[in-house]
Amino acid sequence: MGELGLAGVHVLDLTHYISGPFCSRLLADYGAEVVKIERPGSGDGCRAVGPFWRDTPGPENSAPFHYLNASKKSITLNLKTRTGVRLFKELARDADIVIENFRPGVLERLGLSYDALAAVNPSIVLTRISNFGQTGPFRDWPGAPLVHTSLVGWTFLNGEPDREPLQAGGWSSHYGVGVLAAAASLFALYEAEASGRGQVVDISYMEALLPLVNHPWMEYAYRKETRKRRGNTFLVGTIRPCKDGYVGVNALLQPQWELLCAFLDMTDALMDPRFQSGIERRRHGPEITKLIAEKVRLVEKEKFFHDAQAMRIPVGLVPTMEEILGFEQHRARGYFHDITHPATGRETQPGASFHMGEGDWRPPKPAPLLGQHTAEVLGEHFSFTSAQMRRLREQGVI
Amino acid sequence: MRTRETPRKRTATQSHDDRALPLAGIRVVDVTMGWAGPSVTHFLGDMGAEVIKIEAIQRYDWWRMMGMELKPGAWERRGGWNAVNRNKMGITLDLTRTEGVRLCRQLVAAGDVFVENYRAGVVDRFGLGYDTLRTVNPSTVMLSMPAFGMSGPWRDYVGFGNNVEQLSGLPTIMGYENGGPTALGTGIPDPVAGFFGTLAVMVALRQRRRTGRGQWIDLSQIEALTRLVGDHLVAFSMNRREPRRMGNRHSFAAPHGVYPCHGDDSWISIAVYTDAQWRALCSEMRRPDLADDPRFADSLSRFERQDDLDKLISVWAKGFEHRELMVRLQKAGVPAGAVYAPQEILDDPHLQARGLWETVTREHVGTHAYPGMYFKLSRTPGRIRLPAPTMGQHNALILGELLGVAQNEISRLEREKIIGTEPLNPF
Repeated sequence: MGELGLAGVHVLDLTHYISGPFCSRLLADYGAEVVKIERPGSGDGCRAVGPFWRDTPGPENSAPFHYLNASKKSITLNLKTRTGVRLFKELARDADIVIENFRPGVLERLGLSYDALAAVNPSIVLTRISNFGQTGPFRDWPGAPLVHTSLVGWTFLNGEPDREPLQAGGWSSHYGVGVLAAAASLFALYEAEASGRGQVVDISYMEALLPLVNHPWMEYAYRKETRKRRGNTFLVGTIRPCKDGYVGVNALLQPQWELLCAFLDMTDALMDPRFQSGIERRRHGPEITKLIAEKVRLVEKEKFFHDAQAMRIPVGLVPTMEEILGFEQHRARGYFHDITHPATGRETQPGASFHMGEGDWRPPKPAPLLGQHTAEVLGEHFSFTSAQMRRLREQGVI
Repeated sequence: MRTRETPRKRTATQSHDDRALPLAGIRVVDVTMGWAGPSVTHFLGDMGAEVIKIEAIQRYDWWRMMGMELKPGAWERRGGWNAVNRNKMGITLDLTRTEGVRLCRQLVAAGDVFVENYRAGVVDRFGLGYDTLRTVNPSTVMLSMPAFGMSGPWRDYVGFGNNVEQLSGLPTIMGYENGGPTALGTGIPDPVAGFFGTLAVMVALRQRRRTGRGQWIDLSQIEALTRLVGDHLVAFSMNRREPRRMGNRHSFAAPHGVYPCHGDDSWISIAVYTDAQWRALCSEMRRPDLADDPRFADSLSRFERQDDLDKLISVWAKGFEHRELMVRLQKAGVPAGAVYAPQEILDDPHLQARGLWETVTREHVGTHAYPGMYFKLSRTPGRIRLPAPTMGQHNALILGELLGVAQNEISRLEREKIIGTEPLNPF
């Protein structure tokens, strides 16, 4: 199987909350050693984000934190002290990638600008994730997932046409940005490993989210075509209630539409001159939605899904979290991993985003306790005596 | 058989600066269609790879016609397709015929990365499975990205963005309060799979530089997308409780919502996370009484009385144009965003100041501004070097110059419809 793809890559992770930690989690999944640097005392703000284990808030109990920080090491380091900054620069000497998602300017104020880091390590890649990027008139504005998705047209397109636009579910937008940030970091790393020179990777939510939207601005530029949100109205698919939940009824290509009509016994729709091409079906989405709704009202979602798939129709169902954990497909492929966290016990983590032929991926190790690896990591790098470690602790550096 | 050290032919698409890009010298052979696979290859192209996109005149990329009127030439005039397929060259090859497959294998032999997003097993039937390609070129990095992966009971199931999304759990957690699960309005499963696929190729290319070996990557789109609800899955495993749909609410920010502005279907998003932001909002609303009101003193009490707050904010916001209100609130330190209709993004001053847009001229559609790089690398930023190819545009260049096929042979391939520049049965 060989070693992991990112074996030997050292990442210093200054990020907090969602997108930055997801970026470094993905690098850890494929073999990078990720050292997460947290504020002494409270640590990453995500430790205070629920849901919590047994609904009990506490720095080691956050489900999102457990998910986003599995397979990393945690050290505490106070970057507002001169010693903390000095220690960080020493660590950066041996690192390949530094990832941060402070507001623009914070790193510079700490004395850790790209130039300062490059002075100790010219090949270092500095990945910076921020609301609006490191330049431009909105640079210093505060942001939030709802704000970011609004400014790329995603929110406008989400939800029912006769209601207010709807925010994207969960943290999906920030997860997406985390993935792109990881890929972009590897572009820079790949280049740095050849040239010996690092660079800054500037990730702005507002730009990184644009490719997730179906480029409607281009159809507008070409032919003034505008788009409106459709909710669950048929475009190439629709989510409809059924007997035991919700099914997704979709037909993308012409043959799939014909099969769907046959499967749902919608012979009239098949012959209906209004529904003869994809663009006409889009136009008559509400009518098609109504027809489908009536046909699936009483079906059972599992049976519907498998029966239609047997006829090669690209349908789906809307699962609960419990049902996702039980999907036969996920179980057959070993997607889920049960691990034991030292503070909260058993939990299940979703598995690999993709499987590599060589080395595959690293199944999750439990998210670190706050500062769990401080002694280990600093010991490795600096061979401090226990008296020195105690002093750093007393000075509030670690 | 080619190894990394063999000198290689280069097609004439790179200027001097582009040779410094991270993937300069990497050649990508791309048989993907739709949005997911082509996203991977445009990111690789953006970063300097030479991407050769293969369609067939018998079976062209169906995404060219998504939402288009069935009119001659429409396959060249879709904006989304042209945006996602920049920085690629385009050729046609009928992969159901031996000669098409043979030429495709020659490209793989001269290439570094091969990307496909057919259902499991389809490329094997073409004679382009990994076992074949690794003998053609052992250093090939092959990315397969079918909807449900290369194994398991659903491996033959049909998938595309919609049902992958439905099965991922994302609509489960999205919807109006007390309403049902809702489809995401933009089709994110494809581009998200594209982000993951790009990451996967980069992991493999780095590994290849160390080992000299290629490899095959199995990316199941449903597995990749399900990672976007990972926090909810972990939480369920801890507490055995399903998440609720939150509408426009937020678990620790309040008020948090989308409010109507002046004009038709015009809205603003406001997300108040801190007490300081709340006081700033009250001050902008000229309602100091609310800032001092103990009923709204902290985010928990504001969360509980959000219906009342939503009404107050809605009435107030209606008096403003959305962009004007965003600027005003942001200047006061309140996170706010105009809910842009897609076309409004074209005029956004921030994206313009950041130099997002690049002007590109392309046959059939003329000159337009396209979004350029979606992330900025400071020293090797990349740019749109090539507009999206017209169908079969680079047949002569790739087959002739790169593979050395003689001109009379190329004419014969055209006559026999193994290559071409127009779809045979477009609709």
